[in-house]
Amino acid sequence: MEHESAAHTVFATPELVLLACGYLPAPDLARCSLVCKAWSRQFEPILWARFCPKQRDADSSTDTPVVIAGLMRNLPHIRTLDLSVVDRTALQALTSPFDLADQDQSMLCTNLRRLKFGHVKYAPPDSASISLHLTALLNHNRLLTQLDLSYVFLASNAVLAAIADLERLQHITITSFVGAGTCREALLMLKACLHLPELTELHFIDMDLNWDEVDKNKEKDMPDVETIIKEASIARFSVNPTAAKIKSLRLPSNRYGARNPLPFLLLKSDLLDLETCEIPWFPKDADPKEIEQVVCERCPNLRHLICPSLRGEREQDGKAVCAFIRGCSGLKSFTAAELFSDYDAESFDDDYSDLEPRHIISEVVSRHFNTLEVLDLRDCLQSSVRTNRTFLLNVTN
Amino acid sequence: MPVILVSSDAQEFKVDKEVAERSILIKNMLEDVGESDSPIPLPNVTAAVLTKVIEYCEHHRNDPVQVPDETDDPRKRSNDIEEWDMKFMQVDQEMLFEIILAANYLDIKPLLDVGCKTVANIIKGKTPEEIRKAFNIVNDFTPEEEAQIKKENEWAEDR
Repeated sequence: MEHESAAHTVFATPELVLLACGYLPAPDLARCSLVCKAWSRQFEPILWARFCPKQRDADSSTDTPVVIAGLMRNLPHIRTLDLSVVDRTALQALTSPFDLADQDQSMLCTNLRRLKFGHVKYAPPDSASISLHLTALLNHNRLLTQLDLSYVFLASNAVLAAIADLERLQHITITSFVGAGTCREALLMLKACLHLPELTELHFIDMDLNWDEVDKNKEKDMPDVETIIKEASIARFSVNPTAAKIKSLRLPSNRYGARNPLPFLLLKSDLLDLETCEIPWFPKDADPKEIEQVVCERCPNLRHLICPSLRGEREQDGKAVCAFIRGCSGLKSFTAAELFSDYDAESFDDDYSDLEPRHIISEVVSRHFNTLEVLDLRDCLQSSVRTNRTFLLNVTN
Repeated sequence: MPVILVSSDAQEFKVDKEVAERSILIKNMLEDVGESDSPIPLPNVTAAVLTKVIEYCEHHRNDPVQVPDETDDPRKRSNDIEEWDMKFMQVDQEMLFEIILAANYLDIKPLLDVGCKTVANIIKGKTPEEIRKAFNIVNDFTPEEEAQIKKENEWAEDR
């Protein structure tokens, strides 16, 4: 018999297959698993390492036993699980083996590193029962480093408790989609994750909060922002003086210009060493000088700013935004993808003239022209307001 | 100072030290033995393959050292092979895989990457049958087994 070909040796060496697979998208990996038994053994685990089932049609066949068999066989290989759309059958298959007494421990879904969950626009009607599955997943996957969750699941105390145990978590994103959320959930969430020693990125996306709730419910079970931050600082740094600091931050926004105590308290705490940040929503009566000073003193490493969109019921003080930009030193990038998206000069009356995007952009450009490498105004050039377009062309040149 | 490399079929190659040190294996060996002009045996690499590997290392002798990226997941691009490397990799398939094995053994990360990208590009977009043909592989699945796996992997197919 002639000696094994080099191709055969390469495809029988797992680390080389893994290297080549790094350049192959999922559909190709799926086809490779069909080539022969040997390839199937090599490629299937790599394909399933990143499991993101598509949204199912009503008549989809994904819940037939055959398909679930594939999932069950590959549970331990899954490292990235994208259940953006919660697939109940898949969820059942992922979590039900946890409860079986005689289940082979090495065949469970316990190797997740990244989890994206429940990105639907409206809360599923049975979100409470889905929360139980989610809790089971989180409790069995303590090595998770990235968690991207819809805010609806924060209503579950069990989910919050499970998040508080994810000691390796580096990145958490809470997305709302409908611009909703309650302060209580947001604060309980902060309480759950701010003390995690490896957390470096904390993002709330599209979450509008009415901070007046906090004042109204002070007596009840509303957590106190100051206490949360103080306790988190102690928990994080007393146990481990070298604990990571939060480098990237996006906070929920304020509705109706309510007093939001979070930005100042967080900025002044030891929890942050920001490199990237969305300009937070300061209360209307915040002193721009103080904002500038706090940013200047507490955020010396801030290089990348994201400007929130100024639409809807949100009220943002343009003076506060400009003060924040002035406080930064040496910005490298400024992203304001939605800044102009539905901007209409007419709708800004005199009170809000300082909110005009052009003021904000010129503040960025005049302050940081030496260091700025990226000015991302994605939707801005499509703006129908001609004056803006001319203005933008001037500054970008 | 030149270094002498000896292939598995006992051919000697004289190359500059800086060229030989593109191979981390050789670099570490040289550091371990110190100044020495004794030839370095490479029992896993034939002369034909070593010639190609040296050609690569000569061309890339001044490249900066690669920093390994730690991301273990996101799919990387395979369409960024530079022109010289692309031409260099236009060899018969057996040689392509021999180069990959040699790059792996000699620990020449950039060459290994280019090799794997080339293999990925051969696989990309092909049906299982075309892949079998390309690499001369016999299908040992029964039609039923194949249909079942196809179904199980359906979620990964193009939308």
